[in-house]
Amino acid sequence: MGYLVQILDGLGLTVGVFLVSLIISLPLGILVSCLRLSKIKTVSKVTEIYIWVLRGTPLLLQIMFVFFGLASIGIKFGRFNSIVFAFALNYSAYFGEIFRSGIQSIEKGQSEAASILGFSSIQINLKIILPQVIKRTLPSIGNEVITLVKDTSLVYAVGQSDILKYAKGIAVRDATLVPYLIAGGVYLVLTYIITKVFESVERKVNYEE
Amino acid sequence: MLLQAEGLFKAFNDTIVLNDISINVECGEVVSLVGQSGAGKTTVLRCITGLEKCDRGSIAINNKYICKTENGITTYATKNELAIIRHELGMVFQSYHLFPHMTVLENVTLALTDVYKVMPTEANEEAVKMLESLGLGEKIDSKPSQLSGGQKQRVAIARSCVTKPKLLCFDEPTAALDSALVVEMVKIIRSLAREKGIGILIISHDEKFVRDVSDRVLFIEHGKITREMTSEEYKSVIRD
Repeated sequence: MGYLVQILDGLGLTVGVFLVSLIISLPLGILVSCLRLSKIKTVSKVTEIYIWVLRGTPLLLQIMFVFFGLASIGIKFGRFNSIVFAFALNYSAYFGEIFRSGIQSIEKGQSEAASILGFSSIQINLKIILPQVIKRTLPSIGNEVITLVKDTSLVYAVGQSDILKYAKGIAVRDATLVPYLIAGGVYLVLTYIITKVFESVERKVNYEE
Repeated sequence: MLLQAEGLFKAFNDTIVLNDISINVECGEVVSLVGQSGAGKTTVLRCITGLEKCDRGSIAINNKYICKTENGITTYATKNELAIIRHELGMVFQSYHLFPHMTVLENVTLALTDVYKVMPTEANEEAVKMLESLGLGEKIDSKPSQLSGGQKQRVAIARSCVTKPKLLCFDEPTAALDSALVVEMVKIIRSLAREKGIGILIISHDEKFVRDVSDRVLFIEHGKITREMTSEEYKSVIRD
């Protein structure tokens, strides 16, 4: 019990990084998918490169680049902000690709039918396309969100103390593996809650196609 | 003249799809365009509805131009102009393209509330009346996936008609229907033309359906209108 209380001191940071990163990266992901699908070739190409770089390099490297690399040229965000900035950019690339595949899976005829009914492009995207994209992409988004929880453990790279860092400190101090098991249990509880939330949302937006 | 399309020309790369096509439709008239697959029927419909730009030619609905060629230069309606022209236009697609995340009622009311800014209660009344007239009164809360092919098509008709278009286009309306439903579809289309005065343009390769529903039949081959027949002339050619 004592170990658990000590480890939970890191829960605030883990949940904070998770929530702020998620809140920024989801809408950013929608924007990335729209830019990726842009009819302007340059915009689409630049976005493709953005996605390639962010998915093609380790998240740990990106966190270090934002915190240490940018600081070396005078751009300083602070530890928490650097972490969230790197996480949001990285996950926006993944979410962007998920949303892109979702948008492309919607039959073009629905947009055409809506445009003949007089809907504007914004109305078509918000009322017709987006609800269907959310439904179709929820399982993939859920996977990424669970990965995001686990990735928060990378904050140790810039000296922040999350659940795992506390567990490691206790394990080294007391020469025991129990704190690691407890930390694993905390992650499992977090991912269980997320899984249940996503299951509930999936049930709410579910309809047969 | 409700629909006036003249000298339509369209090519995809080097393939000429439409070659000097002219079609007119009057209010309350049912005109069918028949031809083999690949003859250019769907492209004609897509140009008339503004989903595709023709390379040359003029298309006017109720004297409002979607495109116009003058002195060899073709100009097209702007987005805003096209949106206004589309208030006079409806289209029932071959695969209906209903919105699967919405109920039947929402499918029919959405354009009324969001495009035409009709109050939701009024839109609901209008939509229910329209759906009941098409025998779908009990299906208003169903999702499209819970409907049969014929019911889906009637919802698509209700969705297009509730905005009171002057011209209604049908893309292969009988492609997914059995013979009993085809008879019903003939009745629905005839009543839309006769009772509401809607001009109707149908593309189809179902000869018997075309015979029963049309006032005039146009034949398209390799992107050209090759023949035109009145309903009586066509009936003498196509028998049971």
